[in-house]
Amino acid sequence: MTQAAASAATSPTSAPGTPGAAAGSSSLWGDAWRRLKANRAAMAGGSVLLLCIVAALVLPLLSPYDYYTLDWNHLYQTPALGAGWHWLGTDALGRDLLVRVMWGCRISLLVGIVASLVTVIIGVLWGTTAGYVGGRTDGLMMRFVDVLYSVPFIPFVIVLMVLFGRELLLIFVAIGAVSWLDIARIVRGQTLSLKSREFVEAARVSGVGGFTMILRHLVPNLIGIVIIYSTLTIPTVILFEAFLSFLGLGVQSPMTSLGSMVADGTSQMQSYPHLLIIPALFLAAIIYGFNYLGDGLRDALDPRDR
Amino acid sequence: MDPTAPLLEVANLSVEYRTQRGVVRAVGGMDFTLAEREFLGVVGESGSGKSQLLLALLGLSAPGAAVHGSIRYRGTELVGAGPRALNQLRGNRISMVFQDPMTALNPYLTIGQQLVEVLRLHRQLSRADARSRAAAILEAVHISEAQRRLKQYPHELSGGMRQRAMIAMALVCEPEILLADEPTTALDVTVQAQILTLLRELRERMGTAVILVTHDLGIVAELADRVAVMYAGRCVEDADVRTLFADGQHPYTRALAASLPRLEGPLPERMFTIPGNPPNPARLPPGCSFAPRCAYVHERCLLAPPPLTVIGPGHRKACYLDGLPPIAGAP
Amino acid sequence: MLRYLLRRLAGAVPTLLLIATLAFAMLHAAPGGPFDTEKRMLPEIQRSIEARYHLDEPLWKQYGRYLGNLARGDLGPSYQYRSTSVNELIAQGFPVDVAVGGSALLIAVLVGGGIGMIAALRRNSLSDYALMGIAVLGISIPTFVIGPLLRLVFAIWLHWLPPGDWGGFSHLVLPAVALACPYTAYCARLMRGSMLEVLGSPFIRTARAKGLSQPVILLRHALKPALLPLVSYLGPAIAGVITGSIIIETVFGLPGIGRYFTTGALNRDYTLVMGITVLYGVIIILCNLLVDLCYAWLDPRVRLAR
Repeated sequence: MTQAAASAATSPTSAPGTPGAAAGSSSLWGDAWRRLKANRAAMAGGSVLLLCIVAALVLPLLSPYDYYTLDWNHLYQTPALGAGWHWLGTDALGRDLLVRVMWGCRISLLVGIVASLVTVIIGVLWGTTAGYVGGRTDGLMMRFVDVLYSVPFIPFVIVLMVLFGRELLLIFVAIGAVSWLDIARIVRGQTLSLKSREFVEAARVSGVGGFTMILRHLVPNLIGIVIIYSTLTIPTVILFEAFLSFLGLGVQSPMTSLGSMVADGTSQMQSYPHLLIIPALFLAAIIYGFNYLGDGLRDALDPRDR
Repeated sequence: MDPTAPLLEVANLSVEYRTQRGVVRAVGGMDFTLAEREFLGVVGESGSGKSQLLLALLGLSAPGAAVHGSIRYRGTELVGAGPRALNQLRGNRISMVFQDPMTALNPYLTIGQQLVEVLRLHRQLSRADARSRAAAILEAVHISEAQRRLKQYPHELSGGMRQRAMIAMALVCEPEILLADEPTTALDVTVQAQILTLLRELRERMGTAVILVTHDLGIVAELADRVAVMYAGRCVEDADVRTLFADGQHPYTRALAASLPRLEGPLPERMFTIPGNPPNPARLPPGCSFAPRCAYVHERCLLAPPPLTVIGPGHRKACYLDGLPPIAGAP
Repeated sequence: MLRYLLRRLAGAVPTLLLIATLAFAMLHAAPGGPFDTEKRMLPEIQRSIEARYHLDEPLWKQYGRYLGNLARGDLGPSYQYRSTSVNELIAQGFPVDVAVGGSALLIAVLVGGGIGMIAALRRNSLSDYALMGIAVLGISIPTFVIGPLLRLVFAIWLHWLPPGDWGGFSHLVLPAVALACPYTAYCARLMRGSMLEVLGSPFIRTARAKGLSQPVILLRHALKPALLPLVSYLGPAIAGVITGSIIIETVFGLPGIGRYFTTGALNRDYTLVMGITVLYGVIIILCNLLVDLCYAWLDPRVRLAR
């Protein structure tokens, strides 16, 4: 029997040829994208969202109507397709519903996306700082988070809005203040585990700065988390804005959001159901879209699965 | 169930999975029998399908698996048997011990609860009787203070004790067959030795037949009566333990034996290793699976996988090669 | 265990202090006073009213007085309802909230948990997709739409249940169900995810290897670990139920605290708003503590570590 001048020892636990390694690229993003594409619900959700966004941007430009002009001759019209007519009907003040719903989508999406991004960014900054610095600072920062957890935010926000008026900016701030706690916790956990894993070894062995090492490993993880949590926070934010509108604290007339339209439509539910159903449908579609997309992103990017 | 029929007969057993990347064959065409009180060691590398083999024997393959072939326990066919029939055998006549006791035991139930439920299920004992039987089996596996341990949770026990507890759970109904999936791999070396001694002792006392799956040839050499060598889901050689180590006829067996470091004799410059890597179960070569790494490969080996043929009393191999000399310096 | 309890309670004090201070600060920082909305009064009367409610004192003195009263459990007199104290108002309204909120949570856990479990057992089947699809619906439609919708269908059209007000058990049903919807949906999703994870655990395989039947495995081995995330979720769920009750009370005309809160905010009833806010804070802290205790009781690894 010939002796093989082998290099690596074939230990009994040598890595078997995994079925996955053979086929295609397995970069972090390529892999994730492929998994996302395979998830039909996520793709459907994403397409619906894309459709809504495109419609919201484009349709108002194509329509002869705008969202604020009153038309006393055409109050409460029911939907009717056909050139020159109000395709989705009109509301209590004769304004074209289609255009208003599209504007509503714009505002809701804007509020949702901006507020969630702000939330997520605050949370990420807080969490990474706490995790990286560690020690007493970490303890203090996370105690702060714990304390804030118990504060009944929503009542505070209501009071804020009642007292200080209904600026759009204030809405962003109020909403953002509520949701950053969870993200801060998760990001801090990730930073801590990374720190204990890589930092000590790397700093000792290679002399490369620990900070660079952490960044290199942390950033891909963080981007994933930011994407996932943004997508999942947006529906919450949109619904919260709807809640504020219901209380009369949302965006001011004549500007409207889906939430306001739904809130108004609820009071007219019995007589003019289309005023409720149409914005509610769009609202549900957007929320469904974000939920399924967010779930799909989480499944595709979840570091646990690696 | 026929008490006179052979204990376990496995014929042409295969386990396949459909995946996104094609059909993965974890186990292909396994044939062997297990006699009463026999200790069969199944050896192979990771990915050779040995764990999948054990799971298939108890019908525990993952939900997407296609299991074909025949598994006869005392004449009763197990492949395709319904859950109720299988549940009567599991834990009762055929038991299994898993690799990592920390994850294989339920952390939310006490040891006592997990022992008692097996007894009450298969032996219809009262709670009190079951508890005393449970304490007795814990003592039999050398866990001291059995009564106290019964009330403890798995995480309160050491690794070795947990594995003993799992062995206790498997043996408490005195099964005829014990399946052990790498029971010592997750343990420290000193604890390994204790567990192996325990297995030998219990087996002698209870007369249980054992199928022990491992990648460690040393364990097999110490405990087994017979050994089956698995490669890429197939059995490539089986023989009684002495013959296998002294006169293994399959090149893979030889290579494995040669990979064992020796205590006597001069130290080699380099440790012997088998070149190459095990094949991808989703893309197996058309001929003999070992051919790409075999030192004796012929053209014939690449055309079709060699069948398992008898070459001596109780000795079979799957190889086209005719006769290799006995291994030099074998015990 | 006792030490843990005391430690948590002690930690709650600064949180409550923070909440009370924030409430105080916000209300006093806002423009306008509690008596501005009423008809113009003679200056002497105005001064005497202010003196009676200590509103003429410097802010820090008012703050001190406020904290002192708080420590004694006295939430002060209501500014709107002159002859009633805030304590009395809360005592009247609180039981309503407990009944509705408690029932809603019960429905959420039982129904939501049940749905999630069924979906997990029939993974990737049609029923799984359908159930989870309905669950997302529960999250996408705001409570202030579900409430009126249910009311319309069951009270006004079908006359099965009363449309509002408070009286007996039948008055509880619609509000509790409406309030429960989003939480039921969330519990369903949580339960499905956690059940799937538990069922894939190695110890479930061991249980099967012992010959236990599927129902036994589910109930005895899988249920407890699967419930843990749900228990954790109850903390934020309780906070949500509190705020949701504000809407529900408005929609169904229930005499609970939420309604007092909104009217109080609009009418600058300082004491009422602050009192309710502090109450909400206390509830959240206590419930979080309870939830943590439950979790520790369920998970032996956590329990014994204390």
